[in-house]
Amino acid sequence: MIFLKKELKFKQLSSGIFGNMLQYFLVGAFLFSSVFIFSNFCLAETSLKFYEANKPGFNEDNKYQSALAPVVVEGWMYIFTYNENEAYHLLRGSIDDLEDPNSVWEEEEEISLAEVLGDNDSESIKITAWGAYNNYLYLATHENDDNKAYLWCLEDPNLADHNLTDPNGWGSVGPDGISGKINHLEVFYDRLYIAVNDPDATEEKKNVLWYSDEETPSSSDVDWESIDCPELKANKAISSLYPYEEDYPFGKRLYIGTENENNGCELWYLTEDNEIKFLKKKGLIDKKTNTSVLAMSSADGILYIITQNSDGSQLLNYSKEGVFFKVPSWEVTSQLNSPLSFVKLGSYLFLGFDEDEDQIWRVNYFDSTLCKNITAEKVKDNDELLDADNHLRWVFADSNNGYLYLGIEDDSEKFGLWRTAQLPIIKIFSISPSEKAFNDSFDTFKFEWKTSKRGNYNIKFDECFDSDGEVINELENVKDSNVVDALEHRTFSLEIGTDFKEGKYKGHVDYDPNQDGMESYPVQFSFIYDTTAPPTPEITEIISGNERLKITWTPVEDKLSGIDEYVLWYKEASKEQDPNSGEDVERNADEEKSINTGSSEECEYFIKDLVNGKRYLITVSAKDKAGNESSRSESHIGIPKPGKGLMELLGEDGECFIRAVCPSRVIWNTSSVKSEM
Amino acid sequence: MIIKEKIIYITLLCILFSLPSFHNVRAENQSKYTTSLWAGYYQPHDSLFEKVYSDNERCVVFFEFSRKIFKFEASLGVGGTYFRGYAVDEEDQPTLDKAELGVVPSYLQLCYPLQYKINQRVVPYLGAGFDAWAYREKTEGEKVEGVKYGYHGLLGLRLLLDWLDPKAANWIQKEGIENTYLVFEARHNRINNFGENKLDLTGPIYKVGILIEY
Repeated sequence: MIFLKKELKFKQLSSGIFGNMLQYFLVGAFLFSSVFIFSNFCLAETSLKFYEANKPGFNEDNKYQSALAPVVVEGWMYIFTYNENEAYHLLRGSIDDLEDPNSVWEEEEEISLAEVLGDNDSESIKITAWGAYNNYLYLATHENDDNKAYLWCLEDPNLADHNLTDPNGWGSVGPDGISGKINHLEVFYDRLYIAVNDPDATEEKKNVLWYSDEETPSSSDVDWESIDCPELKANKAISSLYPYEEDYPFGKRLYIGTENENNGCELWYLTEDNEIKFLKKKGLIDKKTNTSVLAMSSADGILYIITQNSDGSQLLNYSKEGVFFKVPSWEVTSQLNSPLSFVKLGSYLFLGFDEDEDQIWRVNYFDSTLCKNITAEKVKDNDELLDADNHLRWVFADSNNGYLYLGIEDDSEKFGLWRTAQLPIIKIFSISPSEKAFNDSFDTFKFEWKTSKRGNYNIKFDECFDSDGEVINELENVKDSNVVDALEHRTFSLEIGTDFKEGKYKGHVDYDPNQDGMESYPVQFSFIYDTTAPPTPEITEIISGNERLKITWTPVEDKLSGIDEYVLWYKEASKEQDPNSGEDVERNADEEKSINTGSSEECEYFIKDLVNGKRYLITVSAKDKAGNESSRSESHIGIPKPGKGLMELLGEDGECFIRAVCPSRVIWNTSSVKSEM
Repeated sequence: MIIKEKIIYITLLCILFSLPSFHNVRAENQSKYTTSLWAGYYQPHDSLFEKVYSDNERCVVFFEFSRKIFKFEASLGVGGTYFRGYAVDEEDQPTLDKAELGVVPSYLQLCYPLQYKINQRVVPYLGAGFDAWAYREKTEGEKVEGVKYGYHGLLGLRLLLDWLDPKAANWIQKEGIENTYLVFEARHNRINNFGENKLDLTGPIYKVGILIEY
């Protein structure tokens, strides 16, 4: 196998167009504005160089590329191919060996699905999905003859003595007797989810999302349960499944995108507790125009979604804290198939399409915390690999080792594996303090990071502001120019209070392009150091009720880290006579209790389960996101008691409907009925 | 009963029984019954009512059935209205506790339509009757219910709708419906168990409805 290494080339077509426009510079403001508008619509492109891996078993006759993306288990890559008899081959090799032209990938014997399934007719069996979780390999198959779906499991496929093609190694673990196809496999909150679609089933069973509480179900007696949601099941198909693994902004979710031809696609999500909810956000799903959620991905707390429109065009949307926007430079107006992959590599997301002219798109999400600079570029390969004669079957990203892989089927239907040169992919895998904002209760700010490629990397601070928005100059250029081993973990640390003062900081780690001209894939970090307590809120109103009080207070602002929540303090109080002054004063009669409201927006709270008629002393304080708490407000008295209705105000006790028949006076209580004869 | 109201009701009754001249022109009208549906506005007089139920639309609906007896119409009606508010504290400030009041007014009344010819387009009428209003109030911890009795007097105006679409009028006449009216009515209710203190649901009702004669 030979990899010809070259640096990545980057070309921005818009700059050429802009160069032509310069000829008309003297025409004036009118033309300038035209150029500005035009440049926004100009299709940006970038170039990537891919190299072919000619391992034995790859480029042979009668071996076609499967549309299933490869699976990597601890440095070993597994790829499915199939022959003209539609029997599957499973190839396996070390990713590290792809660098070594003398190494040989082992080609496993032809996997006979018929043997695995105990069926003699292999042509009727297809692999519909597969994946690796916790060193288990999972394979979803579909049998055409009886329209049945099966899920198979192989434990630890990397073991040297493990024969992948041994039928005894594979065990059926899926739900019994399910009809249709398993189209998606995902792990979310230590549960394995499978999405099964059966277009011939009744509306209530067209799409079933099954899950097993065992993260790696490996035996036939695993318990499977289905998500009970008739509206979800009635969709034409579950078109995409995506586990959102970040806590920000809404916590971890399993997003479920659906397809519907006439009624529009839908977006659902599952919470940690398997509670399913419908997500309807303005600007994302329009029932009149969107027919399918094609693919989803995420990076830096932003969810990216590609939707298919009824006119064939596609939209790339991104969500910032629940509000969806469209990526303006994404211009796919022709009828494209669903993206083959939507993978994350460094500061980019890559998408691949198998079309007449195959396409790869790259989405740049760097600096996405401010939702700016999110752009999409069409990737052009230097050797015209993505031409009309070839078929792109999948795009695969290996961020640990820094490669982007392409599975290509050429014009003679031979399978080829292509990949980029090793890219400098940086990963920050732990930050301390983990909260974005912190105070002086910590000694150091530090993060651990590693890269995929040996070389010089810079750590730079881009923005440093104090609480008044003034620029802080001390940390403008902190550099770490040591040579970093690709596998070595590195730590960057600053002494809190010594190396930097109170303020907002944002920086990034990137590869120094001066070494070999290779494009950087930077990652960013940010933090807020705040030691100032927020202003004190004031209680404006206390409304009483039956065993409860409603407290309202003034909102306050914290310029640096922002208000995190308010804290209500209350204690029972009693009046006693002060021996000195002789006046009634409040005496504490109970231990003080506190309630964290959990919201920075709401400035009112109901304190419940109080005792009617007792006097409560109530104060409020504000907490910022760095953990600083304001002083408490002036205390106010609240006395919970039930309000009086009209009848009580009038002294009306009520009476029987027909006085003659039932002359008693009746008072209905919630607990008892009193009758006076 | 205060003297002013006594005078009003006595006057209404006098007018009712002093208009026999219209009787003969109604002889040719074959209809014996009327049915009507109403929606209207009810304004209780009691100032305490406002403290608890201040933010409500004072809507009231009625269904009424009448039988013609000589020159009069004897009616039986039932309706409903519902109020939501907040119970108040000692200083009459709203608390957190919700209060709900449902009232089901029912009545028996006698009306006299001032009709002097067949297909008269505008028919004024007046009447009076006796009321029994059931009520139920629910607050956070308590439910109080009962019935209040009283009486009412009313003035109304019926506008004949048949002339708007004579074809349709003829068609429904074959089905047995003689006339259809748009009706406006103002009534004053005195619902306080004939002078008892405590809950007083006294107040005017202004309502509009559709009435059919058959």
